[in-house]
Amino acid sequence: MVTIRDIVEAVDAEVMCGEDLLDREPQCVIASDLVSDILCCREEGPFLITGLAKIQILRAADMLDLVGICFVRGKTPEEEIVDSARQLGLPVICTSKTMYETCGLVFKLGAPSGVYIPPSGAE
Amino acid sequence: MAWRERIWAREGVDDDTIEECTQGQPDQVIEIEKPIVGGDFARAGAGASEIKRLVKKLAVPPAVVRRVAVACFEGEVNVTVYATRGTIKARITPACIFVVVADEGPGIPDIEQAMQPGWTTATPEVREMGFGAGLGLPNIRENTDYLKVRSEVGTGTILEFAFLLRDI
Repeated sequence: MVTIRDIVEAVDAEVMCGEDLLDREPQCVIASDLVSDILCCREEGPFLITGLAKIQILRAADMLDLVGICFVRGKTPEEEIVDSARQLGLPVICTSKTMYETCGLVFKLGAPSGVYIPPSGAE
Repeated sequence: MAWRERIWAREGVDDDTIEECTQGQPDQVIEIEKPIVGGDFARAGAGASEIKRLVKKLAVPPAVVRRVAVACFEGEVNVTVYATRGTIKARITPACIFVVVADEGPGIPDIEQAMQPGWTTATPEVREMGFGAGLGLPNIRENTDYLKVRSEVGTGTILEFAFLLRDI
């Protein structure tokens, strides 16, 4: 299984909070900058890769019980975000790599992709 | 203008089912209500978060907790994005979790269209915060056993949705 610590090493990330939680093993990994897209994940224990370093992401993280978040493209989250993550018991890591490269490296580690099931709309 | 209404429900679920499921002895029913402020994006989802925590504490299965959390969150975000103000109310009985999200706002001119994935009237500012993907209502419908959308242009919108905790 892949741990968050493995991801930190693979994408050369800085750990913003949750140093004691890096041995968590994400059940799946999802990547998106859209909150509603993230909420389409139906699996337990997803790890999120995102370029959206905003407080709204933390709310979505809370809703889905994410196991960890990686902010990409050198986005440094504000203290408020890190504080909220700490309260939620959520490790936050940051990498200067792009979304594409980060996803590629994490995929190479063998972490499974989350299944994306979009809503079907009106009948 | 007039109120328009549209219902989506899982097979075998109708207004009567919901009426029945939302009943319960006072000591078996828990209610929670939170205000929603239009435009307050920092707080968007706070009510959903509290409802989720409450439902989780009541030993509801994790998959149902996730569905409740996602639907409540999307409902709350909709009010924050489009309306002036609103409330989110949850009523939890032994048979179901029933949620009402009501707002004072512009209303929805075409409910069917709003239910189409990708349809949105959100501004670029809203999209920059990661919202406005046009998946709000579809995500709510996808995660609920029953959804009633009522709306009047110029007045507001009321969403009522339910998650059944027992087989019907």
